[in-house]
Parts: sequence; structure tokens; C-alpha cells
Amino acid sequence: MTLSPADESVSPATGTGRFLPRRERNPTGDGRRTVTATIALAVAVVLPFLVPGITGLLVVAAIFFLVSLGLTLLMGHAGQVSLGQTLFMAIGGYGAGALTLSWHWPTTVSAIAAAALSGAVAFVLGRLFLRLRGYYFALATLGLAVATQSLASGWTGLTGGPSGMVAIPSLQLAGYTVFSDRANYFVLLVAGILAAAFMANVKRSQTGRVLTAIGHDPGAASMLGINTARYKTMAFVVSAVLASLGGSMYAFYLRFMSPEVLSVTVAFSIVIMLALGGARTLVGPLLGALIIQGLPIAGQSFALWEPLVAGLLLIVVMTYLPRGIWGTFTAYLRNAARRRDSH
Amino acid sequence: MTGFIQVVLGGLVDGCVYALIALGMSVVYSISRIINLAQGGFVVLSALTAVSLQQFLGLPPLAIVPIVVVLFAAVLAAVDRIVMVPAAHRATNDRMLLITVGLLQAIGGFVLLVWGNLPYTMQPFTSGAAVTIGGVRIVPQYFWIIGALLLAVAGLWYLLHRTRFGLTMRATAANPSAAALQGIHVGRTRLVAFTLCGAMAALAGTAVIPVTFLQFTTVTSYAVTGFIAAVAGGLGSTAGAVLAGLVLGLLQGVFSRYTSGDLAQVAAMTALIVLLIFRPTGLLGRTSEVRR
Amino acid sequence: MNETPLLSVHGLGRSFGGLRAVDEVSFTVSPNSVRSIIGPNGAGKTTLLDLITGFTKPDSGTVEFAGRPISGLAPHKLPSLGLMRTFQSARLVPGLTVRENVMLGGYRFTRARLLSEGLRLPRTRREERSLVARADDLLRFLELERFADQDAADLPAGVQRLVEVARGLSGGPRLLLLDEPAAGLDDTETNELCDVLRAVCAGGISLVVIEHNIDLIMRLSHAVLVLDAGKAIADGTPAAVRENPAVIEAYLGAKA
Repeated sequence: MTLSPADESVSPATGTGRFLPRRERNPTGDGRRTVTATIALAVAVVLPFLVPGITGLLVVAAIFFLVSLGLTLLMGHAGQVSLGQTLFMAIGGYGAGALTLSWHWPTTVSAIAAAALSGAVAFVLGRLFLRLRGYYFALATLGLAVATQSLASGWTGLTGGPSGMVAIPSLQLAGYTVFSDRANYFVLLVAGILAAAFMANVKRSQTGRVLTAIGHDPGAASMLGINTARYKTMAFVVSAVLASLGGSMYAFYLRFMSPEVLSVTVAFSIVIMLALGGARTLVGPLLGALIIQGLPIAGQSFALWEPLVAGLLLIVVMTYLPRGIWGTFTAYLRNAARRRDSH
Repeated sequence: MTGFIQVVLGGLVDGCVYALIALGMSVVYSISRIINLAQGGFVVLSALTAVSLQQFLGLPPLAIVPIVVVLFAAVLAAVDRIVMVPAAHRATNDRMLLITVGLLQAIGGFVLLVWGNLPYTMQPFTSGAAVTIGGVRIVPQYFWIIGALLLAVAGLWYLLHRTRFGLTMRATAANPSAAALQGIHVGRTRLVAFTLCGAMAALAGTAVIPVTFLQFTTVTSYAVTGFIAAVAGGLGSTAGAVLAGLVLGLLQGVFSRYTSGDLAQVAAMTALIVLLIFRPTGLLGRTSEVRR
Repeated sequence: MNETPLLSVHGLGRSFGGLRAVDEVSFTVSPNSVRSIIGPNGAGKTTLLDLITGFTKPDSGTVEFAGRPISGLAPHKLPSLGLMRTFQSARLVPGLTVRENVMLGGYRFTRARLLSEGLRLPRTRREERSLVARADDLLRFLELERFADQDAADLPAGVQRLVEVARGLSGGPRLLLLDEPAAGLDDTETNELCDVLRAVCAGGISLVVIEHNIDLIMRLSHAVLVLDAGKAIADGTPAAVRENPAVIEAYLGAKA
């Protein structure tokens, strides 16, 4: 037993000297998951060849997947809604654009520099905002979204004003110019898988548990020694970095950035995608991005319907499926499995 | 100098609209603790409805006002019953905010679908030339806008302080759960709050559209500016909402005269954020639960 | 036994409105001992714990832990000093398993940060393994291992409270504050809990226990503090407190 008052050593279990059995999972369930993931990956790879017409849409959906995926720690676990992610997309988009255009930095370096700047901005803002209770944080971030849109059209010197920043170069990767829709799609597919894997690892580690605890009961969490403000700031920084990378990719893909791309409506739709799919899941943001960005596939005139449908969907999902579509689906599967086991 | 006074006057007129939006949000917030972000959206929607009704029915604009007011009182009552009641049953405050975000998005989408992204305006309520006092030009519609605000404030004051039902509303606002325990039908009180809020949105929308252009893109900017006024005034404080709305309109007017409108917007947002951080209870508010 | 107290509370007080919830309460906890706090409902026992842990700010008084003043310290700083607590109604995290909840208790031993976790570096793997080992040891110790993989929210209240005890212990505290650990347990379970807490104390962890079960208190405690209407009306060994006329009156008065 290690009940004696532990010293400050890093490893609390020294002295137990025993390897712990891995969490026992249903092996067939694990196998099924691998099969599902493989099929999904295969579909993702083949899709742009089967239906070339939708590659452009898939690129945009993948960008918004990155952006909304970034929010899952903050919104899904810590329970803080940020309506201001367009600020970080703007830093990513305009920042990378300006660095490549004016200073001739390589595209990847520009994107990384912009992401670092976004992270720093989120750190400072997080320190300030996260003192605010509940939805006052959401409202402060809404202020950011409005300011972003205004700055994008008002700060003409940097952003090019309402007509936008033009002639942004395409992404250069190891000497290869990522220009076509298909090339952009595959770069984003890899980036998305890496980001999702990173988030999955964080979610099943102590940080994921800590953020869940904070979202459920900040008071009890602090009694476990958790500095809630620190963790929420960290989650905000993560969201900013991914939003910034998404924004940079958006700029490299469109080769153009304008206030319209970063409107308050876009800030709303990022949150809508996440809430729709399921804020605590990894498939959720993917599903949300595909639904919201994919609506226009149904027809050109359907693009006009998008805000209305997205708004109504959000109302219905938040009312009846608070865990989002994917979250509800997986909960249903788990319950069904448990019922089967008990028989 | 007269130019400056003209700017101040224009700012105050805009401020009346913000005050009306903030007033509606404040009433709903104090009864239900729901921040109805969509309120500004309803202002634009009611204004565009008035334009279309006026064209369709051919009635004078002043006759359209009561129709739109009644219509939107009913619309918001329906929103309460169809959207808010089922949601508030289950959802936390955070999710309620997302639901009003959805509502705002849906209103914007509806406006886009029906009216397209085109600016609309309407004839003034009363014809008649602008009055010029000391070089400052005042169009008659300004009086209607100020009148709309005064009507809303006076009506609300009368309802809250001179009627039995007002007493119920004030009791609910002070402490919803205690009010429920005392046998007050909180659901009905909230329905009335939403109805009032709809009437105020329609008043604001119909009064302002003759002096401005409204369209799809103004939905979010009205929603956000009105919301800032509500927070700055202290959510739940009616006097604060009116005061903050007027001040905000004034500041925006003055700012956009000397800088661009975009920078004025940025300044307003910075003010909001500073306010939220350092004085989260607003100018006249008394909510103590904002900061941890 | 060392005689410098591990915890010393001096003149702690707090009013809510006109009500003096806790009124100038002083007591100490010796190392390796069990201190119980009893009193009728509403006597201010839980408020006292809240004041000690900084969860509620006191109007007056000081708290020293291991010779160091801790009043005014943010609650999240206490576990790393060796002070942890449980709540009257268990505050476990739903959606996490019992094991994961106990792993959260070991929070202060983790050093791996976001990047290491996201990339699943060896350091994170090592930490996760030791957290799991520690949690499983504690669950076995409290005979809760059969619940390890269940969602914490699905368990009966009594079991949840024991899981909270395990979570508190996994932080490796020197002093653990327990708010009604035996509520909702039957007699057998209470006896088991008593044995467990004795073993914990023998292992060098001091306890402060708020409890209603007088029998458990008498068997477990080295010292008992009796609160009534916010005031400390008696402080002494279990036997002495039992004979104290003021205590008898307060209890009989409360029952009448």
C-alpha cells in the first residue's frame, strides 16, 4: 500500500512495483472500431476521385473540422463556449498572408508563426476572460468576433479592407506547391488525422479528465488541487492554435482573405458545427462540418437556405440532443450493449 | 458646432433603438435568466415585415405599426412556447445561450431567404418637412423614434409598478424559484415577458426603418449592439438598459464621425470587454453572480 | 506522537446575513489522530470545513496547517500541501469511470503537460500507469474494485461517498477532511469503513471526520469537537464528551 503521505516525487506508485493491466476492453469491440476507422479512411481517400465535384467543399469542411475540433476541449469538456474563434482564424489567415507577401517567409513557417501568435493572444485573453462566470465568457468572445470582422474591414493597411488581401501564395510543402483542390484536401486530411489523434490522446489523459471535472463542478475540481483558470486558459490556447492553422490553410487554399470569410455568422457556425455533431466527441466536429458545409451540395439555391437551416438545427439539437448527433448515437450504442450484456 | 450637434442627435436616435433592444432583452432576462441574443434580429425582421406589409396592403406607415406590433408580440409568444419552454425544461444557461444563437442565425437566414441581401427602407410615419433649429436639421421621424422609446418605457413602468401583474413580474424577477414556491405561475410571467419583448422589437424596427436601411447583415450588428447596451446597463435593470443604449448610440455616432465606422465598432467591443471584466454588473446593475 | 498540532484552527467565524453560522471556533488536530466533529443539523459543521479549506472566506480567525498559515490561500493550493477533503454529497465526475475519478485525486503527482499527453510520450505513459496503479490499489483497499470500470454517476450514494474517500486518499494527503463518510451505509459497511479509516490513520494520515453515527465516532476518534448553533460547546476525548452535560443537553434538546 502507498497510503503513507507521499512525498513530492513525480511517480506516486513507486513501491507498488507492479505493472497495471491495461484497461480491459471488449476485444471484438476494439476490432470493430479498427475496421470502421479503416473503412472511413478508405472512403475519405477515394471520395475526391469518385466525386471530383465536391472536392472543394470537402476542403472547406476539413478546414472547419480543424477549427471546431480545436474547441472540443474548451466547449465539450470545460463547458465554456467561445463565439470568437474567427479572431484566431483571422490571425492565422491574414498573419500567414502578410508574412508570406511582405516578408517572403516560407508558407509553413508563416502559418506556424501565426499559430504561435494566436496562442499567445489566447493566453492573454484567456487570463482576462476566464475570470468571468458562465456565459459572460461567451459574450466577451462574441465581442471578439464582432471586433474581428470590423478590424478586418477597417484596418486597411494590413488586411486590404473590405476588398480583402489578394494573391496569397499556395502552401509549399517540401518543394511541392499545394495548389489543386485535391492536393489541399490530402494535406488537410493528414493534418486532420494528426490533430484528431492529438486531441484523442489529450482527452484520455489527465488533462482530459481534469477539464471534464472542471466543466462539471469547478468547486470540487479546485479541492483536488486543480487550478481551474490555468486549465481553461490552456484549452482556449489549444482552440486558438487549431483555429489559426485552419485560418492559414483557408488563406493558402483561397489565395485570398476577406472580412466576409470571417464574419460573425462564421463565428456562430463554428460553434454550431461542434454543438450539432457533439462537442465532446471527435467525430462530432467532423459530422458538424460536413453537415453545415455540405448543405450547399443539395443545390446552388440551397446555399441561401444554409443560415436558416443551421440555426433551426442548432435549436432542435440543443433542445433534444444536448450531446449532439454523434454523442447521442454513441450513448445509444453503449446503452444497447449494456442491455445486451445484462441479458 | 452645428455639425457636432447634428451628429449627437443622430447618435441619440440610434441610441433609442439600442435602448429598445436592450430593454426587451432586460425584461426577458430578469424573468427567465435567458439572454435573448436574437432580440436585435427580431428588430430587423419586424422592420422588413413592415416594409412588405406596407407595400402589400398600401396602408399608410402609421397604420402598419400597430399591426406589426401585435404580430411580433404574437411571434415572440410563439417563440417562447415553441422554442424556449421545451429548451428551458432541459437546458443549462450555457445551452440556452446557444439556442438563442441558433434563433438569431435562423432569423438572419429567414431574412436572407425572403428579402435577399438587399437594403430596405420605408416612408416616414408622417410627411412634412424637416425642421431646422439653429442649423440642426430634425426630420419628423426622429420624434416618432423618441416617442416609441418613451411609450415603451412608460408602458413598462406602468405595468410593473401600477398593476397586480406587475407585482408578480417583479417578484419573479427578484427570485424566480421563490416566486414559484409562492404559487406564481412563472411560465405565464415569462410568456408575458416575451410578448412584451416582441412588441418592443416591433416598435423599434418600424420606428427606425424610415431613417435607415436594414438588411440581412444588420441582423447581427443590431443583435450585438443591443446586447452590449443590455450588459452595459446591467442585465435586468430597465433604467440601465435605456441609459446604456442612449450612451452607446451617442458614442458610436461621435466615433464614426471622426474615425471609420469599423473602428467605432472595434472601440465599442473593447469597451464591452473592459466593462465585462472590470464592472460586470453594468452601469446600474446589481447582478452579483457574474464573476467567480 | 508529536505534540505540535498538524492543523490548528483559531477563532474561526463566519456570518451569513444575521446568522452566525460559525462562531469563534478553535481546535487542533494532532498528527496521526482522528478528530471528529459532531453536532445537530445546522450546527455549522460543513461550513467549518468550507472555512478551513478556503471554499468560503472566513470573517475572522486563522488556520494553520503544518505550522504554516493557510487562511486566504486559494483552495487549489491545499492538496499540494497535503490537505484534501470530501464532500457531504459526493461530487464525483459523471461520465468518468470510478477509476478515472480516483485518478483525478492523484492530480498533484502528474507533471506531464499537454504536448507530452497529446503525443503520448513515455513520460505520460509512465504517469498514467502509475496513476492507474495507485487508483486500483486504493479501490482494492476500500473493496471497490468491482466498480472500477463503471460510470461514477451510476453508483448508489453510499458507494459514491467511498469512492470520494479513495479519491481523497489518492492525493497522498497528510490530513483528510471527511464530510459524513458513513451516510447511506448499512451497519456492516459502516464497520468496514471504521476499519478502513483506522488503517488509514495507522498509515500516518490524520483525519477530520464529520459524522452523525455516534457509535462510529466513539470507536474511531481520538478527540471530538461538539458544535451547536455555530459554537464549540465541548472538546475532548470521546468518553469525556459523552459525559459532558452541555452535550447531553444539546442533543436531547435537539431531539425534543
